[in-house]
Amino acid sequence: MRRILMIVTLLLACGLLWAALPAAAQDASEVTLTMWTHDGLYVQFFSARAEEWQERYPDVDFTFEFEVVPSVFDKVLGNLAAGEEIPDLLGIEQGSFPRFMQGGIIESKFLDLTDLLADDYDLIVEGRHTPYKYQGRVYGVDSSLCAVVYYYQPSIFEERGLSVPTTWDEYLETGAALAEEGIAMSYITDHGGMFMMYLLQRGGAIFDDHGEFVLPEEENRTIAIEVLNLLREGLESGAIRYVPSAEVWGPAIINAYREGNLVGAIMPDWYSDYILKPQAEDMAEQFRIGRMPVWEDGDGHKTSVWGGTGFAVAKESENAQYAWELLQYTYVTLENQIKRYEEIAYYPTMAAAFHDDRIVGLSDPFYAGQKTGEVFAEIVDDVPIWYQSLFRRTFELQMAAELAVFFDGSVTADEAIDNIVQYMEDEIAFAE
Amino acid sequence: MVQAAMTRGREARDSGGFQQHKLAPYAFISPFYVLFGFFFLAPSLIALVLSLFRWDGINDPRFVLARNYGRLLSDKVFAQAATNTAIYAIASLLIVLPLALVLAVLLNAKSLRFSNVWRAMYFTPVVTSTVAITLVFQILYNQDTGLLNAPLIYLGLEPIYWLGDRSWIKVAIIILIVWRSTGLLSIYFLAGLQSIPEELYEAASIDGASVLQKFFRITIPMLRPIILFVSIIVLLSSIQIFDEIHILTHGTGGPANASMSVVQYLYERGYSRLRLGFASAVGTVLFATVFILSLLQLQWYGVFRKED
Repeated sequence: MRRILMIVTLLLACGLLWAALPAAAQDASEVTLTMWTHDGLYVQFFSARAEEWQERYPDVDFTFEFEVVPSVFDKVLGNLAAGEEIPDLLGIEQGSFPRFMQGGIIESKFLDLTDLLADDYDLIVEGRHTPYKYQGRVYGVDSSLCAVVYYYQPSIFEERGLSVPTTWDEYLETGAALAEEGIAMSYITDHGGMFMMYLLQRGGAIFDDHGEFVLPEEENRTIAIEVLNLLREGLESGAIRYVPSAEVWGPAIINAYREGNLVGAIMPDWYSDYILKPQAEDMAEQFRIGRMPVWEDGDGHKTSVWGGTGFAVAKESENAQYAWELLQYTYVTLENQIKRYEEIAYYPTMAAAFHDDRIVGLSDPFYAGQKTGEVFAEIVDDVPIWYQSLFRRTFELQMAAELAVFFDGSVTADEAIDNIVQYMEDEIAFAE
Repeated sequence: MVQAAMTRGREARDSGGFQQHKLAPYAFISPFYVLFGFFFLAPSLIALVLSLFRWDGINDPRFVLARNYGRLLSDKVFAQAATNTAIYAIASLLIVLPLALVLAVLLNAKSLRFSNVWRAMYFTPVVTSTVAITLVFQILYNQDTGLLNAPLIYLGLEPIYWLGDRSWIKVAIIILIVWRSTGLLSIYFLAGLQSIPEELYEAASIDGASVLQKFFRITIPMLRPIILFVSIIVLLSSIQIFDEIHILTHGTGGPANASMSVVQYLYERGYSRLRLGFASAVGTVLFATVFILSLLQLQWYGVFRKED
């Protein structure tokens, strides 16, 4: 009986060993890489690049699970809180990055890419690194230049013998003339990010590289007041139209373009393929892209920035190395930055790409064949640098509230800035 | 001796049976209390404790005593959210409640043809997704292309900034609440109306009572328990309003936070800023408020009054 038991035990052990060996071998050659993002265009682009990239590893059988996940940041933070897994690659929209700065989550759960980027770091414009920096280290690689330009309908100017304004003074002057016919040059909304866009162009800052709140400093405060007064002047003359934030991305704006009572928008590069083209397909060839108006005194920048999504790599992922290599291949090579523009129209973050004819020489049929890349090539060297802070979202939300009361004339520019500074100081004191 | 042993056995059995008999009802109602304990009581107590900490949900919590409450009470945005929520609650009680009652009386009228069709129509908002409803209202409220502004624009008047004006956005939300809640509440009233004995109305008619007299002397008093129930439901739901406002304003709380509700404030602080301790303090204050208001309502309707 004992002999039979021993034989059975041995057979079972051999069976288990036999079953386990091929599984181990199989595990070594099978890798599933996951990626979560809020934008389907990233899924499309990463999927295409992953197909090419996996050829570097003929012995590895890759499965790519790239998906658009609703409320992606809530879900990732929820998973982290519950001790669940997070995707190997995560597209962190820059506005949500401060949520990952809370308690150093970004540092403890995501890979520090600074040293991994190595020499490639300098190929990407600095203003596209800083939105994903925490304590001086980079945790994300951005998806787009996000430089701001003026989208406009040239026919509205041409019919009236007006030229496209290049400075804010000209902008207000041309806008005032058009306003007499009920036409606005562009629109503004009570969005803290939009205010930041105008402030950055003028050379102002809200936070410094340590995340400290520097808006109260004299220089920044003066710039903020100048920017608000510029917007107020535009609103009062009718050159700039106020649009409620709930309507700013919807059909109201597009209908205003169609009806000819709104010339265009001062918006970042992603506005073109994310908002304008999908919603105004019937207006093909009616728009052009021009430079953002600059300040008459020459201070500030040729452009501004708003938005962006930086891809980060999960630190605890067993596939972190593969995930980083795929990210590097997809976003940190000149060739694929150009492909990204060709395939999903997100402008390169590498300044060198703007010397390539596939960027500056590409005619866009929506803009009547305009080589739109040329406009961005002129401004890529002057993309403003700005810094993240734990209090960025607090600032943006409260600034939005202050903008609403400023736009309706309830407070002056000085009062609006004093109010936001007071609120921010209270919030910062509470958090200490 | 055998008899004594049998008696003792019977007593013991009876006593065990009595125990079983006593415990049985509790066993039957226990599933609710177990679930209540796990999913309401325990989280509420944890939230109460958490409200004394600073916690981002991932790193270790830090004890801050009552600092969260201190900041909450000094935050002007919370004051605004509380005011907005009070406006929604008062508007709901003053508009939705009477409207639902009138609607229920109309739906209960014997002379009403196709009454089931009307009832189904008024109930539709309840079974329709909040997201779908809110998106439709977003289109209706659009400043330039919305249906509500179309007559104004046609008449050459200034269109209303439904979602962009600090006052009108509250009106826009109250209209949405009224449209969404009235149907369901009228069904509650309808059920109450159908339980009122017909003889009371017949007797009143014989005594020469008018329609209004019957309404105020019979219908309203007989519906008192339903009115109490409905008013508590309205109060609770309006104080907890979130999704309609969140979607309608793209999560912003409207211009200058003009439409932000307390729950939206809680969500924004808790999830967007990862201040879970602070959000717990908001939740605790909200719970205390709802609890006290409900008690006051019960008191006002005389629920605690001893019958003579």
